[in-house]
Amino acid sequence: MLSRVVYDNFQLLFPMIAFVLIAGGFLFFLFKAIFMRKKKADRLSSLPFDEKEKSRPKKSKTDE
Amino acid sequence: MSSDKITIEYNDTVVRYFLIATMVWGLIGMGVGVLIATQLAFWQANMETSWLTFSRLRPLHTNAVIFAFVGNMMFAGIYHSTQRLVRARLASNFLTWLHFWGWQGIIVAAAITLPLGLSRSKEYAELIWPIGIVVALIWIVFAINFFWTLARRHERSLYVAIWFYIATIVTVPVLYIVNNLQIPTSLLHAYPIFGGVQDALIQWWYGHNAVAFFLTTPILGIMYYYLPKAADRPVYSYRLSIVHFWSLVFIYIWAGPHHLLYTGLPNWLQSLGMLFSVMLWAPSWGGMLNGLLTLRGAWHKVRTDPVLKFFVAGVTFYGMATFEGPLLSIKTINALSHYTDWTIGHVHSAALGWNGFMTAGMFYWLAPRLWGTRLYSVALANWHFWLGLMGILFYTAAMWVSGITQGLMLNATSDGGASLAYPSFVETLESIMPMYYLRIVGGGLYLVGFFLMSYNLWKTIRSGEQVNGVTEVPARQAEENEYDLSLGGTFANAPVMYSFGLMILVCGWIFGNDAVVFLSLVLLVVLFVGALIHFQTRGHLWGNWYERLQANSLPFTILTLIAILVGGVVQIVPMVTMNRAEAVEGVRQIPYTPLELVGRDIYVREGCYNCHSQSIRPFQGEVLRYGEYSKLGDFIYDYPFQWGSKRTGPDLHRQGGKYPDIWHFQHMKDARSTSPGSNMPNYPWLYTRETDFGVLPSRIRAMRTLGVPYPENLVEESPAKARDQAREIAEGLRDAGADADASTEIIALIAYLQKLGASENLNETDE
Repeated sequence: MLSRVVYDNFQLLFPMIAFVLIAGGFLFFLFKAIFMRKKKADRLSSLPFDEKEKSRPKKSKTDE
Repeated sequence: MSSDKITIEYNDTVVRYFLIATMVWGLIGMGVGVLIATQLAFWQANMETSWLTFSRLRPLHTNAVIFAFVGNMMFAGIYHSTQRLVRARLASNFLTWLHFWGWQGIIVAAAITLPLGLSRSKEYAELIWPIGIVVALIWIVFAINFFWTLARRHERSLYVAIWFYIATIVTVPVLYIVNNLQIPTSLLHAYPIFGGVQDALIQWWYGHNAVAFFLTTPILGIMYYYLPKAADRPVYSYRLSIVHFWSLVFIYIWAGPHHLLYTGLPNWLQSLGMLFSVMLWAPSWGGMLNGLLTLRGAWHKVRTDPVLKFFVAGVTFYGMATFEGPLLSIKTINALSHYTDWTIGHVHSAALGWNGFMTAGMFYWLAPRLWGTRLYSVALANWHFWLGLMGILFYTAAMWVSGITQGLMLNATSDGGASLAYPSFVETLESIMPMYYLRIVGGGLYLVGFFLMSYNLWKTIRSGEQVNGVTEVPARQAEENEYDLSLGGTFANAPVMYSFGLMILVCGWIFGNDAVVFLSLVLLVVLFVGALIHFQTRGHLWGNWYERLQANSLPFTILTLIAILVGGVVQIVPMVTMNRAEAVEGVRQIPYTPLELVGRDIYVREGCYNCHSQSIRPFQGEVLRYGEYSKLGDFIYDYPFQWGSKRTGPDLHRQGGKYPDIWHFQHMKDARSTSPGSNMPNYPWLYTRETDFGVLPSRIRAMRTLGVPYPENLVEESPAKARDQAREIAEGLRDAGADADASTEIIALIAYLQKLGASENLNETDE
């Protein structure tokens, strides 16, 4: 009574192959992230900090 | 300015505009939220006015909070932080302002059309097709402006926040456009090209990922920029932030079907959605911990700094909500929680705690800097924090109690499963009513806190003057750089080709038949050895592909797009290629008559799906309460599907024939006359508004295009046939003592309600 539709083979296969491909890509990116050089990680994590930024009053309409 | 340096003045004016727009729309969106919470507790608050009725205002609330409040906040954060992270001013003033005013125009259009009942009935995608097109166009304007700015940047590396922004910018239009594919029948109406279970899948692939890529990834980008800035120390682990990013991009997009557990959706898709949802626990908590650990050594500041206070609470709510989400997607838990207020509580802990508090933290940090002044009142900000926090806790706790109570009561059976323990739906509603009062208190406290923030920021703005950020950067060098990566070079290079080839062969090895397995295994070994030899001899020329990828926005964007597309395609392609006429589980829906069709469109217009589901799950309690459980074939002519996601009232899928016409006639006029204790609004306008039969030919024509087996002559004959059926129903109602007019909308709606659940049993036909 509670049975659901069974798909053709390609419809079962399709997500499985896609999963293997995407998992492979993901593991590659994971590996590269985990083994990133510390020097590079430190440099990238410091990007939000720009010591040179100053503020100046907005001139009328110059940035409109 | 020295000869090799240039000065950049950032476009902070548009950030200020987005900030103010966020506050205005936030007050409106949350104000409507408190109003509709009140309407659920006190039905009189609907005021018997069509455009003030819960079912029309609820889409306004969700759209206002998601697209107006969080949307504007997100744009403020993205524009402000991106300019600084890439050391470049926004590329185009024209596109920037087109983006800002276009987005506000969309919001105004939504605020007008949704209360008027101009709705597609697809949750968080209700806007009618002309507005949908404008949304897509304005998003493209935003994308061009963003990527153009990246192209003009003076910082080669792309900080992880930019990655999150890129994922948002490429994913949202994909979701939105696919979910908005439709056939217009007039300027204000259209039918989606997908129907029934396919439409449900597309909708929740969109709906879930709108949460992922509109409410989560951009705010994570904002977290990775503003939290380190506020704490004055770099993010705890940059490596973890990258793992966080790739995990979300690869996993999130697969999880949509968890919104459709125990429905007619095929089981493999339900399991897929559940499994990927559970997988999200790890990256989400990794991200939360990364945010919280960024405060290492700065926790003492949280005591006095409202910015950090909001960020800490916001990130914590991110962790709580992303724990609860996968929990609710586990099938056994979902069996209890789905269609109840538990889901509402989950959503609001994320929206109010994560989105709302991150907004507050960002704006308290940003406003003084944008107006060159100090925050008007730290005390008021602290009041905002505690009122907001209490509001969230009241709200979510009330909804948890309400959801679990109602879920248990609705499923409870007695007599060994032969009968319902609580046969009256209203009985369950009355038992949770105290929680509805508490929700109003919680929502009200949060709104008061938000109002305090608006006042605080307004006073801050008034005390300062507009200032723009200025910085000096080295002049751009024209010569080629070792980190340049062309689009072709992204894919046509040795490591990528070898990796792709190896993965294809692994698939052949795992999934192929005998011959393919052997061949794949042999080729796998050959290719692997070949790749090793190639790497030993010429590996130095392969050169930092991944590092170059991170520094080049276009290849990076395309790879991100591929990652999200795969997750969507694996679900959608098998579903849309299946033959819906065959995959029907033994039943096939009987097409609607013209009057039933126009009645269905009235059902959609009034937003009945906001409170009534149309999908009966295969549970004993549900079958006893509502009738035979729903199957694939029951919905094949439903454009759009009307399964809903919440049962404030009972499921209606097998409503047809359950009560006589006169019951519906009286129920829609005064729900309490037939269902004492109900909180359903009255719909008096349905008894005076005339049914527009003139729309039928274009709608029947569109249905025929979509594959509904209407005969060709029905296109022109449909108005006359609809009038005939309406006269019959009205006569029957008059016989029962009602003052019924065949030309009014209530007659068409009754015709539709009496058709619900009507399917032919193919097994019996075969026999």
